[in-house]
Amino acid sequence: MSSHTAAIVTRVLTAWTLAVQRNAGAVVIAFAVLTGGAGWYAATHLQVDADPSSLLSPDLPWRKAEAAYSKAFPDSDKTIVAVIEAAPEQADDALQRLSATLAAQPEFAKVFSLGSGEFFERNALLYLDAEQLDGLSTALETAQPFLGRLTADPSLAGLFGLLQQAMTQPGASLPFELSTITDPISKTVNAADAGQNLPLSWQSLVMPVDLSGGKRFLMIKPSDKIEDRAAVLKVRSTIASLQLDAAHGVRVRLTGSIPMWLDEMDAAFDGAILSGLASLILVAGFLYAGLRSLNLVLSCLVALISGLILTAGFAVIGVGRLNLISIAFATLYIGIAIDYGVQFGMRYRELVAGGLSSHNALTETGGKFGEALVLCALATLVGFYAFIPTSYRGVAELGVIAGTGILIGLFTSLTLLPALIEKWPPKADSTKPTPLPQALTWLGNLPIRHPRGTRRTALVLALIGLATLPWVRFDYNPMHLKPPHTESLEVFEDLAKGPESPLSASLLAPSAEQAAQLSKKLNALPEVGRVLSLESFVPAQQDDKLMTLDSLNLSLGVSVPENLELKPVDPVRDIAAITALRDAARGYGGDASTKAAATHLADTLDTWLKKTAAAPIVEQTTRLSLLSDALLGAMPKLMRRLHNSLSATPVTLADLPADLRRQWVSADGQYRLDISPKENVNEDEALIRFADAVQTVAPQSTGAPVAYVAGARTVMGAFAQAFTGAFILITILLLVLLRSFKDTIRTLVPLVLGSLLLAAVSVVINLQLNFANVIALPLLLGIGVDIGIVILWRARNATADESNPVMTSTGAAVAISALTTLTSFASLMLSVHRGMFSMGLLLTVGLLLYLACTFLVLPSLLVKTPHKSVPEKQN
Amino acid sequence: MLRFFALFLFVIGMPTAYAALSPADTVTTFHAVLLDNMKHGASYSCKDRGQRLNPAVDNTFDMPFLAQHVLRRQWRTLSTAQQNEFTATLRDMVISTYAAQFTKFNGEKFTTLDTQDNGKMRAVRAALNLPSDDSVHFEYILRETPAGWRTINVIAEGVSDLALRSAQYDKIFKDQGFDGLIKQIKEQTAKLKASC
Repeated sequence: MSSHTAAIVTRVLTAWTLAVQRNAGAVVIAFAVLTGGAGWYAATHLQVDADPSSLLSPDLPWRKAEAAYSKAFPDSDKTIVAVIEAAPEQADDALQRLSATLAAQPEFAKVFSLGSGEFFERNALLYLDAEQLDGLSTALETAQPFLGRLTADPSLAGLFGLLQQAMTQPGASLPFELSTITDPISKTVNAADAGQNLPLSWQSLVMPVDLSGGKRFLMIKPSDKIEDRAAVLKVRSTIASLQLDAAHGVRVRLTGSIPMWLDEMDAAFDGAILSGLASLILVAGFLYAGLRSLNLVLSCLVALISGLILTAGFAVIGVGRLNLISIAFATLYIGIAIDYGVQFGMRYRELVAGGLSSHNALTETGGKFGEALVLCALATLVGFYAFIPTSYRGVAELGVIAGTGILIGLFTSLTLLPALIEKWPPKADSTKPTPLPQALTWLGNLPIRHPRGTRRTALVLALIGLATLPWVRFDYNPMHLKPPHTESLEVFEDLAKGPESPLSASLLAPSAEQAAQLSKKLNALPEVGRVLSLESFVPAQQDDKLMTLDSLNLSLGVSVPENLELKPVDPVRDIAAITALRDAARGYGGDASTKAAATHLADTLDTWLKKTAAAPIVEQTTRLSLLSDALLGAMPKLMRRLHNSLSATPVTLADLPADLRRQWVSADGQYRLDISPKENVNEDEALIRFADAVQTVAPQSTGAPVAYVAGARTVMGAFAQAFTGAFILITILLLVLLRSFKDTIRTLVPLVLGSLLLAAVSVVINLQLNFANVIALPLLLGIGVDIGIVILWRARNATADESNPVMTSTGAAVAISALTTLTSFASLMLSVHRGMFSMGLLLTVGLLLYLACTFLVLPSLLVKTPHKSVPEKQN
Repeated sequence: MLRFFALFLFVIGMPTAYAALSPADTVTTFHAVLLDNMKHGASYSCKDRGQRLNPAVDNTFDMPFLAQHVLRRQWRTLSTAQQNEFTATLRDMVISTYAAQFTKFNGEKFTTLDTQDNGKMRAVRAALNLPSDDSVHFEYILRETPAGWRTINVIAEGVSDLALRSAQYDKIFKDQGFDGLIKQIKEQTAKLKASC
């Protein structure tokens, strides 16, 4: 600072420190009370807001479009989506049972599925495209002889009789390869042998096309009265109670906005707590190394924790809640506030080692070194507060909490810490500080010995860093931040690869005509895969398809009965048929691969027959019934479905069920369009292309892809704004308080160089910027400038024989405090949450670079011009 | 045996007699012609049987409708001449089949069972009682035309002729085209006539 300002500040701080020292006991008690109160208040009032939509300002135009969409279609967000995968009959059955059970429970406001229900079952064949329907009709006609004979004699004897014929009469036609059916049958018989029901899927045998397209989706919207986590647990327990599990051939996984946010919050929280704890432990270790006195270490830690709790208390008053980003404030606070404690402590020890009494050393540290601390705190503060005016609310709130936390940390370091040291001074320590290894000394003095060379190298490196700037990437997809191996994310990524991608854009159109127009325009875009709207549910080419169905009805007719009743088991007849099939399979003389399957079937049947023969008569009938159920159970339902599908009638817009209408037309008559991408937009390039393309046609579209890209642009804009603002403000701050252009330059050069090198390194190690780690950059700016300011302060207050401010105890203090900050940042990398991990990585690399640049470059800038600062420190 | 009955059976009959017949009677009348051929197996030549079957087929079956549905996928792509050619070829084959298969009598009896109403169609169930106490079950699906009730599908022992034929011909058409299909059917017909 200029001598005048410096004098005032020193006087104020010295007076303050003396006052604290005089009333040390009272100060400690006061802090204890304050901290206790803040802690209790925070614990009871602080909430965590896990809603990602509150992270970005609601006033942004794309957020407003989002809000309008949510208003029109409130069912579309905050849902749990159950994805059911199984053989077609079981999937349908599972969907129906799960849907009915959940709908009956009061915890769930709405349960609905897309593309299922009586209407879709009846018209399923109309929804196939012409080619698929053709293929299906061929498959059915080819299967007709088999189906016809089986429905004429729907019994075990009938089925096995047909199979036996197929094996013994090479000319006899089966609609499928023998080997295709023997294996599933073997499996079913095996399961039945063990008393389990593993149904044979007729639908997948007979029809190559799954009428419902593979997966079934059930949308579950919990009511407002139940908490998200409880809702997910209830869904899972319902699934378990209905036995929809692997043992029954069904897989149900959960995804959707609610499970994903729960998983993410868990990971973030786990990460935050773990890293917070790790921070504390490592920090304590480094503290001891630097301060070498248990009393001092404890004093620092107490001051640190007290400040942390007070900051938490402030968080409640100032902001009211923590969001997914500001949870990290604790780690950041610890890393920075500890700096003040360490440097304060080490300066104090240096003075004591130089001969001052504990009391006087304390006063001097508080008074003079306090200046540097105040400047550091202000600079860091500026770095955090620069985010407040931006639209990136999540980071703005972190800025408020952490920034104010720094002030609290400063206050604690200048009040509580001196009080604690005064009351519990360290025991006299006569050991000399261990000398630095030669290599480090040599390295440290390099910039002093070769100032020009150092400056030139710095320039070259800066240019290299500048050149890599265009390659710095931002990751647009927040899904990449989520914990990688959670079910909700895996299902999401699975779906994103296929046609049911959840990453689709949405659009509201005021009328059906405009919906049709927009649909047409959007479909013409090469990036768009398909556009869905109410209109798309009217099947295309109905005339042709209905004719095909008519023909099918004619040719299949009676073979597809509406109410097929399986014959009751007839032990004599059925067992005879099973035996005959076993013998036929055993003696099968066809090609080698089928022969293997046939032999396997023969063995399976043999086992079953032997076990059945050995059982009492009553049990024999039971076993037969179980087998009949498993092998033929799915037939009647399949026949009914086919029967109904074959008699489909034309479908017009007016015929669509009300449920369906409600999902595509809002209460106030707006038509919804759902626009799917052609490529997998989980990849950034494709995502941006898709979002931009859709918005050229319809600027008011919303949905995940649009939101991600717009969000990313908002964040990048916010960051650029904040970073620029912070840099300018810091420069002004330095100019005003240092009153020296040259000194300002000296402080800023390592900063700029460090930033450029950070860009270069991030490109090399492929570290992308993302929604979470952009906070690191202004933060690094604040910390980096801290390091520079303290070193510069030492340079300006140096004795005549100190040529290198780095090779002093101040340098050592800065190094140690930087190490403590570093461990705190590095501990973020323990988090499973990829966002926190990347933040930790960026901060660690950045801090190392800033440290290196300050230590190795700043001294070289001091060499040419002799320092004009106050030459003598006051003892 | 089953394969044999899975083919269409056409019969010669007298046009006027069929005009106002109920579906069941249409079937019965057709069976009568078949039985007649079988009983006179020794004295009728192949050509004689064919001649009797000719009108019977036209009066029992709706050949154009059948032809269109058998080749439904490709029907629209065919010219009128091709459509007519296919119908005629199909008809020929069916007549030859009946002529060649129903030649001997060993005490068989045709029985017409019940008729079911399936909306616009009628399903007439019938049976051929064999001397060995066995019987073969049929189902004739008939639709009403201006000329009377005509069969459009025969299901023998559960096997639908329309389905079978449709699947078979579709494959041949895809592999060998229209001309290939006609050729195949004509070859089959020729074989039947040779063994008649």
